[in-house]
Amino acid sequence: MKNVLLIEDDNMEGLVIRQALEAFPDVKLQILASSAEALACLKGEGPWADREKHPLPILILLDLQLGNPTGLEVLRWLKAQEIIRRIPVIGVCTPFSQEMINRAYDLHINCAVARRVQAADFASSVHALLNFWLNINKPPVLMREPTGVSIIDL
Amino acid sequence: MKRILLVEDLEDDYLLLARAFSRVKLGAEFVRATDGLEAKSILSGIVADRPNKRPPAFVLTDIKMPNMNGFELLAWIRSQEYLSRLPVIVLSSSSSEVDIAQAYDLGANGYVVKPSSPQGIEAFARSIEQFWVMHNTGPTFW
Repeated sequence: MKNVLLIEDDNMEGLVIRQALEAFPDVKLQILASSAEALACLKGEGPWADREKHPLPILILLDLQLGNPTGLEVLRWLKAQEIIRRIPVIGVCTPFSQEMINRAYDLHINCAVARRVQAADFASSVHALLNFWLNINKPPVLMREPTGVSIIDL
Repeated sequence: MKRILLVEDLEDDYLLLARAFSRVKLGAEFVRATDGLEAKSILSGIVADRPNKRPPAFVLTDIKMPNMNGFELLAWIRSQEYLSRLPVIVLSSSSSEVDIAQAYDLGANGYVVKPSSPQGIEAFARSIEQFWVMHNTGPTFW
């Protein structure tokens, strides 16, 4: 089962993403509507302390427009953590703001989608995004010392 | 039209990708570099000629290459004032956990293990077209 975390306080955007995820039956989606809750989840605090019950996600979809702390502050914290910084973070930016997207890339966001005009276009973006990140991309190794042999050493 | 920088030293791998991109009607041009050093030269030239030129929408890079490998290229891109935002997707035959972890630690935006089947290559090319070319909102650089 692939765990995906959606940090989104907009019901409409969340609905589009939930609907798109129906095409990926091996995904378990967790939705958190506040960045404070999301940080607690990622830090493994409170109810999320049991990592067997609440494993880290392999993909995070983050509303960049969240407030207090902001989506960018959540991103900054995430990408400063030694291991979980490897988790791909997809920025969702609605309404579209190139300035916000640039700031997100400066904070090492992995990619971004913006709802610019039509809801159908956003739904297409989300579907294409999920196909790449869940079916094509190799998720990160979330352990301190991965095993295996680096091809560079060969 | 978007441009992609494809960094691949192996001619056979490059041709497989080029044909797959052609089949899916990739809505982007791609420029090839045969190793990290050539890619660095291409990108440096773009920076030197700003704002007349702009960086590619993203870079697809192999890891194991002569002269400058993919990790070294990625580290260099992330160290550059005008290029640090540039999305870089590693495309490697390595599925080693060490390499995957290192790629993400160096700031790779994604990591794809090179598909070995024709269907896998086409699925990869299609996903690049459908997401990274058509839907990803990339950064601006200057």
